[in-house]
Amino acid sequence: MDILKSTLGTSSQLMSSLKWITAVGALVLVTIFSLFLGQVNIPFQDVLRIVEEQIFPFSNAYPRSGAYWVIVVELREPEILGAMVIGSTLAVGGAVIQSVFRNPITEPYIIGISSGAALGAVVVLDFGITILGIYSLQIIAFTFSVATVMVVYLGAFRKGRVPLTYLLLTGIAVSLFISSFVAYLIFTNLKLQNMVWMWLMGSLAQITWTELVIAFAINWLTIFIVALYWKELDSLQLGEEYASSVGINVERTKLMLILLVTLSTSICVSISGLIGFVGLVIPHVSRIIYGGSNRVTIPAAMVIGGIFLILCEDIANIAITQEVLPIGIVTGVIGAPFFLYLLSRMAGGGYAT
Amino acid sequence: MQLEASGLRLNRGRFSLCVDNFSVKGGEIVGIGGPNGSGKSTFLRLLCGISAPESGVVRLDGKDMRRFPRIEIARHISLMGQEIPMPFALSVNDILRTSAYSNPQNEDRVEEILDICSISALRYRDYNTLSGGEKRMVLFAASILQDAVILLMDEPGTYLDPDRERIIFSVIEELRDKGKSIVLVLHDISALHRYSDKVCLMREGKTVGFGPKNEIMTEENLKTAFGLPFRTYDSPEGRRFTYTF
Repeated sequence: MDILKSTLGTSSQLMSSLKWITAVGALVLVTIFSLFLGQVNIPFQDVLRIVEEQIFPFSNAYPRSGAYWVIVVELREPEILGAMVIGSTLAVGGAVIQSVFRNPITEPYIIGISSGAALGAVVVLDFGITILGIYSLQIIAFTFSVATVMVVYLGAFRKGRVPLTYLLLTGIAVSLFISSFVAYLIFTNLKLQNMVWMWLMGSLAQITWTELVIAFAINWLTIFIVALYWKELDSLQLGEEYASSVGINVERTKLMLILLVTLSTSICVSISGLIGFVGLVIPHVSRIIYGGSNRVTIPAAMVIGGIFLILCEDIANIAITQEVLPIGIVTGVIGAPFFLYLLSRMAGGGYAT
Repeated sequence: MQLEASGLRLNRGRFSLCVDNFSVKGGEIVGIGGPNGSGKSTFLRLLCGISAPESGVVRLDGKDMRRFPRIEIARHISLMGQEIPMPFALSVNDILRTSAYSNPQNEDRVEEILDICSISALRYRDYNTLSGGEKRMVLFAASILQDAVILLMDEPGTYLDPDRERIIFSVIEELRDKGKSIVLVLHDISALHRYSDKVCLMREGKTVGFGPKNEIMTEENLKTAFGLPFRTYDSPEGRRFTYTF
């Protein structure tokens, strides 16, 4: 009996290790594979040489100029790496917000991040603000986004606490209010509509290396910190009263987690626009495959979010010729059916019915 | 370790709670009884500091509980609440681990505690797929795993079959005999008398009486608390309670 138990134990550990190896392997493969995809057909050898020249600078593996170099280094790589870090951040943010709110249909955008950033972006585009240099839009969108979350959080304050229902409803009300202004600005400036439309649907085409360095540095750090909070998040899933009874300072933990998610998600939104679906659905995909404890959900969301958004970016690039689709269209079209399929596979159990 | 409350006042709209004095010490089970909405659960939340009273004080070992950080309170007091709805799929194992938050070493005792509660088979089951009684057993096990010296339990026996009820009350009595302080909210009058050493009866947020069970659970006090004419008679198996409508 003991032998059976220990064998079963190891085999389930083996299964779980295999799942992780597959996921991380898939992320690496998808990243590399995506380098070869795009509107312009670049020979396999050239891509390899360009990467070699980047890894071993000035080894003269490839001339650091010319169309192919620019396409791979300045366009494809930022797009792929941007998709990776943004997919990870949105998915992890979703896992955290869903656990904190104990609500499977919430996501980071709900506390005002997206509407705030949208207002910032539209204001910059409408009034042609360039006061903060070439990154005016990103900086202002980020600032508006963080400021909106602060307004929502303070607006939900009741007697030294921030009750979740108030936070959620305040977030929705403030978001709707701000969205009306965004709609008004778009309505009154027809020239703006194309640009704003691209931004609202999300796009990775404009990402620069500077933005990438900032996003990777800050967002990976916040994901790392958030992952350390898995015990608090699991307890919060069981309710604030329960979390409090096992020793968690609920209000402080909530504030800390919301700050981390707001910071990292606002960075994403300010450089890529509003990419929907990832924050809502990837956490569920992670839970279905890896389990509901945040000990595994958060690392899984990080990997799967990255894979998912890179794949969506690939499809956005090659789906129609001579044109790049806004990535927000692809995330929904690809993600929703896949998610429905996973849900149908869960025969009973899983979610509270 | 002693837990005392004095002069507690809490107003929540039309409900007000008012408990002038209450205490539980090591090696003692205090039962709280009273009709629905009499403030039993609210009182438990005040006792473990999850709700704060508007006035009055709860003392843990003589010290005002508000001076302790949350994690320190959890090392001394555990609360087994009523049912917990779970939006996501957490396994029984995951849930038990959360109750070791204040003392991570307790994570090593998951297997042992599940065995004591006779629910080892449920360890890797999804909490949402369990029956009402099984869920109660899991929350009971989680509360034991927390390993506090003062255990507060809100209706631990609800939904349980007779055998499981026997298990949890024998575990509770064993913990009492090891010197733990235990406060139970019990709906069932006979169970209240059977398992408690002291009893606190409540009605509409106020205590009807608090003291040794035989002094408190009189026909007169029960009538005041529940508004029903109880008859009590002593049998070899303990005091029995009946009432007529």
